Amino acid sequence: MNTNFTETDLIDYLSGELEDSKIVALEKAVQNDESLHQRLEEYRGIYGWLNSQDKLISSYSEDEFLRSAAHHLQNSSAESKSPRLRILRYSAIAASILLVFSLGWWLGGSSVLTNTQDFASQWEELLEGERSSHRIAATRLIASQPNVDEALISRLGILLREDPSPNVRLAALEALATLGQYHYARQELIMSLEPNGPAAVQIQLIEILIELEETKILPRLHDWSQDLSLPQYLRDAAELGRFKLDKI
Amino acid sequence: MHKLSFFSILFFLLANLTLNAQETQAAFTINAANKTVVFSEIGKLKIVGTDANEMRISGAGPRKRNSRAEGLKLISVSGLQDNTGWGLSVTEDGNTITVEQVGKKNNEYTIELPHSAVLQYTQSTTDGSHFRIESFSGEVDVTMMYHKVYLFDVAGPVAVNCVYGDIIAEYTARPPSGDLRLHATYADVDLTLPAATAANLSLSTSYGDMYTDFDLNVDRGTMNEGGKLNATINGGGKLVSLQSTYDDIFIRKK
Repeated sequence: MNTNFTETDLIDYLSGELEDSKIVALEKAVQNDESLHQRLEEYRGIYGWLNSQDKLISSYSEDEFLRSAAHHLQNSSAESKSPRLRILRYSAIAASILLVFSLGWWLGGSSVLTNTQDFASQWEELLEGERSSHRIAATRLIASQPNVDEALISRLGILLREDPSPNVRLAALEALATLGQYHYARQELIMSLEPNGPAAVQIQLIEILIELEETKILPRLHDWSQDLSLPQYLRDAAELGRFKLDKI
Repeated sequence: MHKLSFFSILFFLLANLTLNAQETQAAFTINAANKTVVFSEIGKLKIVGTDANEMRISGAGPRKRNSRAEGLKLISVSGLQDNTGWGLSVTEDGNTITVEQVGKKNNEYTIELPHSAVLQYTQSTTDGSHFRIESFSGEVDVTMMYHKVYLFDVAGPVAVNCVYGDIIAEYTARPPSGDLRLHATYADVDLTLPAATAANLSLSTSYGDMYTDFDLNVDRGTMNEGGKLNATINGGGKLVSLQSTYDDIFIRKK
């Protein structure tokens, strides 16, 4: 058994944080050492399970997390060790992963948060963040909620229209499109259709409104396609959009 | 013989008077650790990550410069001044450093940027050329209109949008450590990842095709007619969101 690689090394490897110099050595060792390969696969299974959860780790109590992890691993592992030993081992591994990830999980770009007590303060903090990556994370957080109220949708609309980063606007647009079943979300999208703003956002907004079959925008697209004061890319997108919506 | 000497001297004089004389130049440095560095409308730019705290501006080749401007400072209609000696204006306001091109000569720059910095880049005109980032661990936020964007081993989080140019990203040493969002409107998105990368994929194209040699675990519940596909590779991990509205998406194993 290869003892040169610690559990932390394997976790760092799976999360893309292992030093470059160790990556090659680890991958080579995994090819030649079946026990190391098995350990890595165990960690990969746990890591994948963690990422597939609908809840952020920090929203679990540690006991809940370990019980849940143990349950998952008991059902998924095909190893021949005794179930009790296996659960204990996996719980220990899961606990170590929990410790490693719990601090940096959110800012590292994790996906979803649903703890209702923390939710409001967390998305608010992210939305007010100076970094565009934080505001993008806020849009994902909002879109992932099972129920989204008008105020949250309105905040997404403001991001779509006013954020200085076009990439944040695109993320807000994606979130609003995901919430297309809400009347308010559609209103925000239509309200955001203005002949100014970043090109990629304007074109994508037209595309999404076409996908949502919002024929209300047809008169505006018609006007834009004829308006020589607008940039060529926007007139083209409006003309194409008008053509597509006409066929609906 | 006399005729040959005359032409030799004439050539020498013309070479010295040429409007685009090229010369070497000392690098410009400024502390950029933990700061947001905004690059705006710069001709040909390559960013390379560095462990140092200072941002270092230098040329990728000899600098184009008007020999008549010796001893004069380059200015622009917007009031910018070349305070770097490289045809660039660098200003600092709080935690933000802004780098802008002064004048219209498309010099080729290599800028070393601390990994702790946040990189923002905007290019909205047909001036200049593609934008390239190499071996950078900080946050990246790029908006490009016409040119291609190349990313090599950029850890992220990364968000890039480009209307007419391809976005080509390659990870050779390790997968992205932050979320990766690449959005092209009328061009390809081409991503290469290490084979062992664990990621949550969100792929979307309305009018293009998608290609991969990864084994995808497709989330069939989210499949729709809008050309969007959610899937995981190697058990799932960081978000990798690739969108090309009118063109193709490629996601390859390294």
